[in-house]
Amino acid sequence: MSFPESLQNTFLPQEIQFIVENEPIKILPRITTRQRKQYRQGSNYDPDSKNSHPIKPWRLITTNDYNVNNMIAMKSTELPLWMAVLLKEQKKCNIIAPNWITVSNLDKYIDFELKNPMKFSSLPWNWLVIACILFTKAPDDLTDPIHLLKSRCQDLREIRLAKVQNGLAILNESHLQLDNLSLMEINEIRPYATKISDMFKNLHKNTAAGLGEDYDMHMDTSEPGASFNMTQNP
Amino acid sequence: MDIDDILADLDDTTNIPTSSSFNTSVFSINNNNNDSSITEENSILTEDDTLIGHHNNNTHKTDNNTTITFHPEKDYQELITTWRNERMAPEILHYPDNLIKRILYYVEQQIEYIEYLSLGFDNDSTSTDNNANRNVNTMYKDKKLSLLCMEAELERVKFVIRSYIRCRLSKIDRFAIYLHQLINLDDIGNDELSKSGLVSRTEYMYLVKHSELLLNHLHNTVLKHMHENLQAIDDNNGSIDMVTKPQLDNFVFIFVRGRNQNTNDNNNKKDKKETYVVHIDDEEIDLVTGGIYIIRYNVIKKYLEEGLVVLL
Repeated sequence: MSFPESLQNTFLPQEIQFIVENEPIKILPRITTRQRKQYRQGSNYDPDSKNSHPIKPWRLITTNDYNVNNMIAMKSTELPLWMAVLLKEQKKCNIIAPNWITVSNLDKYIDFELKNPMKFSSLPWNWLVIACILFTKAPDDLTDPIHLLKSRCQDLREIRLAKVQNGLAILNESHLQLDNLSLMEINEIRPYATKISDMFKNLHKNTAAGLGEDYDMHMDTSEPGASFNMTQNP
Repeated sequence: MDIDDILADLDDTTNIPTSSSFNTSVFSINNNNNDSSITEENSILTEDDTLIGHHNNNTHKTDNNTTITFHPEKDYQELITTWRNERMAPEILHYPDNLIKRILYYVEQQIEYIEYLSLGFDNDSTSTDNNANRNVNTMYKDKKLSLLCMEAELERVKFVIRSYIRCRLSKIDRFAIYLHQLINLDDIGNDELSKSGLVSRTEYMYLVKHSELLLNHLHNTVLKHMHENLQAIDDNNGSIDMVTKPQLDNFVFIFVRGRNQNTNDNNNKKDKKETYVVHIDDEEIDLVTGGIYIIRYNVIKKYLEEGLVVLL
């Protein structure tokens, strides 16, 4: 009632984006917010001066507001992503794309993914969302042509997705290690992965209680020596 | 019952700082600001300091020896983590009373501040000389932008709080009878509810009212027509327990965060990755810091409470 079924036990992609948007990113502001003089001394806004505050044009409660109060045009600084996007939409800043979003670096990641079928490359945990946001909101701030970057990202995504799907074969009733999987990718496989693991666990309980070894033997032979950087329990 | 009303109700009641210690801390901050006419930078610092000081004194008496600094920034991150854990955990987690109070306090202050800025009270007295006039003009343009950002930020915080509370309410709905048993077992009065810390006062009130309505409804529609022996709602004599309980051995995604920065600095073995041992059935598994695992909730529960792992 208070929470729709679709939100229970999973996040919406939008919520993943929300989480990622709290991360800091570097920007080049086009405005200056640093005050040359001290702006005001002991000013009160309440006649009763009950709730007086020093005047501070930007006061934020989720991040340190020092950076945003001390922006100098064309001097790089760091802001949360959501604010960077907001300023970008107002044409008040340029976003400095993280250095993994270049054709050459993405190619390296693709190489790694292809050479290590059992491992994920160490892309940032939020690469998919960051790439998506930058492609839509700040295409002009990217150093390389956008269509090349997009196709690289698409490749990366498909390779990794295929690996994840292969990985589902070695899900088991104990645990599984999946290093370097990004949050969005985790969210995608969450419904399958957790449900299948739960089922395995229940099967395991039942077989351990009654039916004997058949099930275990099947599990052991199903994927000989699979390691997948997901250390399967022996 | 309309959930919006409940939520609105909850919002209203939680907005009012209930504990006396909180009230005093609000008060002393205001006093401090009145007395001091200092430069902007300094007063920011003192404002933070008083906040820190009072939270230290009043809400965290246990940590008297160590000076822990509290910032809105950190609190927000903690709120995000708490929210994400709550969303993914199969059971209801402990209610971070002080954290929520602090966050609501920040939100309240921020709403006032935004109102104050948007009404333009801050521009009144600077318009005497030309230089100041120009300043005011540029300030005004900048202010619109900053207001935009501040309002957006406020909405973001509100969203997290709302989603968090709704998630908890849905869990309270689902496990109503189970929670009833749990809380009654502890045999606590309303006043000592915060001691157990599982649900907040308002949530407890909701739980009581809601389960009362539900039980009445079940009784009036079905149970009263049945044999007396079959009327129990929490019967577990048969093979199946009637009470819906959280599935603690469900699988969850975890990220092993390890010790937080502060303690890490004291540790000399920074390079060596810490591992945490968990036991599943008979085998031992090392959870490596920085790793992502799919694992049963109940085996990592204690690490989750310590904050060493977070749910993804």
